[in-house]
Amino acid sequence: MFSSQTVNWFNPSGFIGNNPDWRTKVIIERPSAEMCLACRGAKLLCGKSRCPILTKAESFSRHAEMLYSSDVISGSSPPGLFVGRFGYPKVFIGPMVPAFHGDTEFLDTPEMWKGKTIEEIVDYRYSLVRGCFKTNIHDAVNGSRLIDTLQEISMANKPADSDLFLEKKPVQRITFSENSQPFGPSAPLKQFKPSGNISVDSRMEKAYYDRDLKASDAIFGLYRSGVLFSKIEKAFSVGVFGEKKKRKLVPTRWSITAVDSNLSLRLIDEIKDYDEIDEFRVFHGENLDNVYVGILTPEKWKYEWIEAWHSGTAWNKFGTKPEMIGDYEGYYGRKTYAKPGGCYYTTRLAITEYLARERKQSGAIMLREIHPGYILPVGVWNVRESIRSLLMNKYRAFDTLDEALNHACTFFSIPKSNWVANSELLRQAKEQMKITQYFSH
Amino acid sequence: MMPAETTKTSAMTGFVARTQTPSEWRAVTASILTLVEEATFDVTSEGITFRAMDPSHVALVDLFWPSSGFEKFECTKADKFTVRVEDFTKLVRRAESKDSIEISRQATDSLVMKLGSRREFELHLIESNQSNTPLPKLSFNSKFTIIEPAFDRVLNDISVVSSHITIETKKDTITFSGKGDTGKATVTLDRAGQDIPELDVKEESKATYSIEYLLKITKAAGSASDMINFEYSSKMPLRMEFKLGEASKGGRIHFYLAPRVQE
Repeated sequence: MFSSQTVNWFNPSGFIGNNPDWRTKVIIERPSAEMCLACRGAKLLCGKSRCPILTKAESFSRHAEMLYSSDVISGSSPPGLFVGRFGYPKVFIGPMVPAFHGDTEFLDTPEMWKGKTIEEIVDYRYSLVRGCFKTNIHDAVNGSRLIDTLQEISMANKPADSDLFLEKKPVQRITFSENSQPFGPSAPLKQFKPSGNISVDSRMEKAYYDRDLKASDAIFGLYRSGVLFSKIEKAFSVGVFGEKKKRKLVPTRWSITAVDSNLSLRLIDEIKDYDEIDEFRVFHGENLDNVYVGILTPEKWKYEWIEAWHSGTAWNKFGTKPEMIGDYEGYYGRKTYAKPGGCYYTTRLAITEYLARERKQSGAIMLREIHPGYILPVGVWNVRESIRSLLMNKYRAFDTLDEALNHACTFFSIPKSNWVANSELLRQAKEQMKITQYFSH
Repeated sequence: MMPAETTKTSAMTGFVARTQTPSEWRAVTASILTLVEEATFDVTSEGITFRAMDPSHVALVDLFWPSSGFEKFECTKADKFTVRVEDFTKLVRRAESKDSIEISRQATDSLVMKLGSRREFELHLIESNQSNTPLPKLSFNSKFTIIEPAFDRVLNDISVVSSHITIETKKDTITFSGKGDTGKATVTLDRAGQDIPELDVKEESKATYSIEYLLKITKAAGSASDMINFEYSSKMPLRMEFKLGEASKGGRIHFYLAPRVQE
């Protein structure tokens, strides 16, 4: 019997050459949770051409009703669009349209999904048909008929009635990703025709016509003027912002993290000017069988994000024990991509939003325990919105980190010692002396 | 080498400080940049000093740069100036290796930096919000001098497996070690080797420190100094000394780092 627990897949000690079954049995059928958490369907570390966990997730929803039997879809685009990442810099882009008219905004606006079940979210996404057209990311500079239309609908402030002409009937499939919300059926695009005038958000339009405005300034300005994250991210992905010659298409799953990261960096700069909080604050919230706890500490800005995936959850399907992954940054930030990926940056945005609102500075240790009810990865929006709502809850204040941590751990089934062992900031707080402790000796 | 000019001119209201090459300023600004974004320098007739901690209060830099360490130094009245370290560093980096650097302050809100004889920059000063930082009161049981490239190599060796380094001194040896999820690393240097010109152990000592801080400061301050004087005691902060320019001139950067103590 081969077990993923006993074999280090990075270094199988000559075992792989002797036993051809190793790859099949250990890596493909039972990938280790450690490997899956580091990959999450993005790097295909197990060697399969498609992530087995995501494929399984797709088959879960493949039984949904056959909604589309035609190659012409007529409906109101939320507005929605998608930029793929495979083949970069030549990627598939296209609009998303459901087969019905009306107020469809909620279908592509994760900010409206608070309190919805995974099944409801899958249904929303399944109803959106995606047309695919291959184009170069640099075509965003000069534009084309399709790119111009996509840029225009990405700035729309209400659903746009459209007709989607496809080369063939859509493939009845839904695809999942750790970073982006699920995407529904798709087919090669023949033509996309919005009917009537598209009403665009004047704030977005202003940024679009400003060919000297940097993309990061544009997105921060729009965010500050109250434009929803999902709208900014959509327009960003289709090359609406930036200096004229630098505009490009950005794959949806990258653009989400790019916007999360960029906005939070701006907010970090801002909160560094504020006074530190004078107590330990513990926040608690739950959503989609995820338990979230935030511990804010009275010190200068530093941040850590740790996730614990119980066995049976999306990225720890085959494990027998919870698997933890996390990363942190000090006052001056980080230079490498954080190990947990998009969730790290999206949580950083939610926590800096809170601190900027409070006009305070603090350290932040954000913890997430994922229970088996979280069967599918639905995208980082889930974490962003959950942390945003967590930080709207009432917090409990404590005088010491120990008290705060003890209270925080009452919400988790994983013991305190495991969180401490996996948290650099908690270990630092416990073990790292401060030079100020030696001033009065 | 010309003796340093230390003059006091009552007509002057500010200060002038000139170094023959940019290497000292490079080391000073790079060292400060590892800890803080804004820096307030104190200028008196004695020279230039600076002291600050990083935002986590784990490390402290203490600069002492006596007037004798400059090619030319004039100061009529004690003064302070605060700069954004990144902006100041950018100006220093514009100097070529043979350029002298002269900083002076005549106007109240800006600092003039001359690189060589032809290039001049004016840097707007910012408001200081720095409070006075005392020095930790420490006595050291172990002292050693290590050549800079050797220490750099030790840090890089240990950082392969760990983010912390344990330093243990015995009568004739120094052991650097670290352990992490992937394994262990140990480097032993002894008195007989070339890497340790000096080793003085009053009491055997063992303490653990963050490699991240040590790597940054060694890279920054080590550029101006071939040797690092190292002092520490068991489970106590360490002090590293980097000389600025010629050792006889007395300029130095002290770097204090609090230990990591595991129960």
